[in-house]
Amino acid sequence: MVEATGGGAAWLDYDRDGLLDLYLCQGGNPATEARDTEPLDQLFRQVHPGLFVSSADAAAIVERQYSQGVSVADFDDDGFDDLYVTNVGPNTLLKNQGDGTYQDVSLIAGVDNKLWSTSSGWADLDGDGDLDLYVCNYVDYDPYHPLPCGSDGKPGTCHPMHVKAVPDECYINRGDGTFTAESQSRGLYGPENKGLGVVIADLNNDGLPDVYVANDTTPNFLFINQGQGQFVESANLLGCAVNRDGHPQASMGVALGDYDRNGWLDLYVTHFTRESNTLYKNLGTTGFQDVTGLVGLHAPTLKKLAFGGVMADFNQDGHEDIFVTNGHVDDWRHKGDDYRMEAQLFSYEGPRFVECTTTAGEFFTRKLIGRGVAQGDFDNDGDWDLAVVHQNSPVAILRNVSERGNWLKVRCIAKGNRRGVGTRVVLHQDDRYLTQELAGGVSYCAGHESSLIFGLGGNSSPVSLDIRWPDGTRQTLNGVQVNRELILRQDIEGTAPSQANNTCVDEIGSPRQGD
Amino acid sequence: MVQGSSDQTIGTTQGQLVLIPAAECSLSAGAPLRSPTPRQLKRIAGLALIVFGVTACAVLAGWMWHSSRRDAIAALSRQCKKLSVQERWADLATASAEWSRLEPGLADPWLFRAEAAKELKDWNTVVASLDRVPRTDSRCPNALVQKAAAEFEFLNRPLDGVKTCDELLAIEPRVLIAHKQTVFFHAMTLQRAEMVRRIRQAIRVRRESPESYVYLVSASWLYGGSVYRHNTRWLEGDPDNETYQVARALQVYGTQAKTDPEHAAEFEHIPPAEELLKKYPHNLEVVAYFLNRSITDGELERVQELLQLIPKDQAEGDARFWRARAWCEDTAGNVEQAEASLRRAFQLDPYWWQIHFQLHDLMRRRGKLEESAKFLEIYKASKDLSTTIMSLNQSIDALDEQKFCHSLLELSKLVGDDEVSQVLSERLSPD
Repeated sequence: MVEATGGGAAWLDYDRDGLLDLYLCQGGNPATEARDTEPLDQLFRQVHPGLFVSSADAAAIVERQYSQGVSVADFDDDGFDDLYVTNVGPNTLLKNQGDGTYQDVSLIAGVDNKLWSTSSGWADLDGDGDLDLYVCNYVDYDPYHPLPCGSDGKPGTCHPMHVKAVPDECYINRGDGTFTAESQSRGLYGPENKGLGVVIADLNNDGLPDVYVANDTTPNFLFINQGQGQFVESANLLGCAVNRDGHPQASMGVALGDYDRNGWLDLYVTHFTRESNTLYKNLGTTGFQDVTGLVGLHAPTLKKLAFGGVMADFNQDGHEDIFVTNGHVDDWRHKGDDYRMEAQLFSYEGPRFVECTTTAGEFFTRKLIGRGVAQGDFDNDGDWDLAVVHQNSPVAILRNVSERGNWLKVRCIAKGNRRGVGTRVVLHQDDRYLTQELAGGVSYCAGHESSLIFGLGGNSSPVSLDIRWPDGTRQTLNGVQVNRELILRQDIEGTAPSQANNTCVDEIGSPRQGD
Repeated sequence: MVQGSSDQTIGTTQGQLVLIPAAECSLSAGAPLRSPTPRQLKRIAGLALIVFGVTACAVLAGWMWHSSRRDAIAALSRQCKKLSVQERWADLATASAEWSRLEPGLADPWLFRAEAAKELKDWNTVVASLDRVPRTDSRCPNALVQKAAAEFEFLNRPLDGVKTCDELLAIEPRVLIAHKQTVFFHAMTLQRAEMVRRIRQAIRVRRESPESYVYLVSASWLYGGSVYRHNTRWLEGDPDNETYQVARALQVYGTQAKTDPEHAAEFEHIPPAEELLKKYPHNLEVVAYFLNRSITDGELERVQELLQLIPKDQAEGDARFWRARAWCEDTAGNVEQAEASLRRAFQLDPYWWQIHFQLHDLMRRRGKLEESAKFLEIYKASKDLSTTIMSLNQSIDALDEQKFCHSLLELSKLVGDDEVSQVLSERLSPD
């Protein structure tokens, strides 16, 4: 059963050379007695624009567990990207030592969650300035003693309702390299929790990160941050636990964006076949509304089993689009489901999304078993590219060659949180506002590049930026020129990131808090 | 008109005057009396004797005939009882037929005749015989129960079975099996409003079966595990029946069996849903199916078109159509109207979890948080019950009745259904 879920990827710049590198999880045999011979997770260093070299060995990464996903954070704020790898079995926290190598600090840090974990995400959940970790745990399943869920009584992929749920975990960063598991005391706990996807972002615009968890076949959770690191589960009360009809769905991954540009972040949750993926429009203070059918997204995804999803403005027309990778968890061809499936792309044409899969490129004609999707601008040209992980097929690196509009890329280096997780930027250009946030988690088992890219369509006029840093400090920049990358620093202390080669990079230090 | 004359009476027939001899007129009036001659007296005495003799003979013959008939009936009665005990069904059939010919107004011969026919699997005779049991006989209710069973089970004439049950319930409203059978039939044929009416009727006389609560809770959404099987059978006896055709097809669409390669061939004869709509554009169930689909697909215009297809009187009483109206109104931004429509749907079907959820959702979006929370609570309870029902798959026997009824009692209180909460409280009370 564990074979069904895995396959994660994360973009990071572990060597800080300005070029994105890529971490990829590996599977192998989940029930082997000889784990030492199992395939290792891979780290590909981008040594030249567009040229990646396998570097796990050089980086001293020895991750042989049956991996599921990966997330990236500079948890110790030393300026270097660390990695958290989720596994079927003990998870691994790999600390970047700043010399091109990693060290496994899972045990010392106390985050070696031994359950079957899937997605994970980082954010400052308790408001103390450092990054905490949320880990989705799926179900209680021992691959060494598989359940006979196959049609012929042999081991197979079980329906989640036949397997016991295990609760997710939240690790609070104590600031000394160690963490404590505090999900229950923090209110980050709910019944029948079969977590597969997580996104951590400010979903109610109160300035605090909230946690949304996609559960498989049970209602999703939305933990609303009450401050002081306390949360209250409110998904039902806010309309994003179940779909429009009141059905809990088999939720997998979550994409985050503001497709309707109302300043409130929306959620796009991916699902099983015969259930469409669901778009929860964030209405504001009253919560969410499932508008999937109304925006034309119901029928196109009914035959797909989706995992990773990304909401981003790929063609930079000013509206966020949706990318989804698909692939079944089992061979259900006898039931009419495809096993391998094409990925899908939807363009927002207001007020509806239009599927543009067939014109999106050759990749979209391939039938694959897609899982994690990570977005990153690996070629530094100012638009989003994608790394898409497939089971039993090579990862796909999708370079974005869309005809596109004007743009602005923003990187945020927050105080105590160099990847800027939790930073929200509202771009104002003429009469439109575009809202984006550097969220924790997002997609499925994946880690995105920690940047924001705004698509501006045909409008190249200067923009204003309202920045809200993770600690609540606000900053406004006016007259910002577009079609370039902008690096914002909340704290002038520390080390600035390297400049990318082929983009115009402006680095702007922000006033200190209270200025 | 009678006029006096010496020896003739003048009468009229069809407007004509006719002469009637006085001797033939026994009640001639006004004629003078004369003493009969001895010859005449002798003649009269002879005639009287003859009349007496004939009458006596007739009486005697009548007495003898009656006596012999009574003997024959008594013999047939004894014979039938004996043959029944001896299980000599063919002989019983003959004897009871003879007896029922002699005494058609009596229940016994018909009951014997039905018994014999039943054993001989002659179901038409069973039904015909049981139908002759006088309605005033105390055994009539039981006879009608058996008749209905034969019609449902063996003759495959469910409509006749329903008619028989109705006749039975008119005589004795507290016959559990009659309620059960008619509720089941209307559930399987997706005649939802009639099903609910009958469930309520049974509840009022405290003769509801546990499964009727399952049907009540799922009145607006259940397609039932065995709908296909039952309607297929009923269609064998009534191939053009629209209700059966629709129910069967909808169950296939609902389970997506038609698109499942493992079973697609099995359901090849079921027309595609669009064809069914073309064939029965005003069928409540067909339109409701398409309404649900179109709402999910977010097709506002299509939903509005479909709403026009159903006669107003039918749509007015169906929660699904009010839900569809609410969706249209909500989509168009008329949230006040949407709320009113959802509330109407809630009145019509207080147990439909989707309505509870949508009321919760709409109230939340309208900022009516207290009401939203109330409907959320109701939704959670009704959703739990619906999940239980869905997990029954094809066998209602798997239902934990006690647990289900306890949950339903709580839900009925939440939705304010006093009738159901009252009866369930009685049933579940420890006394």
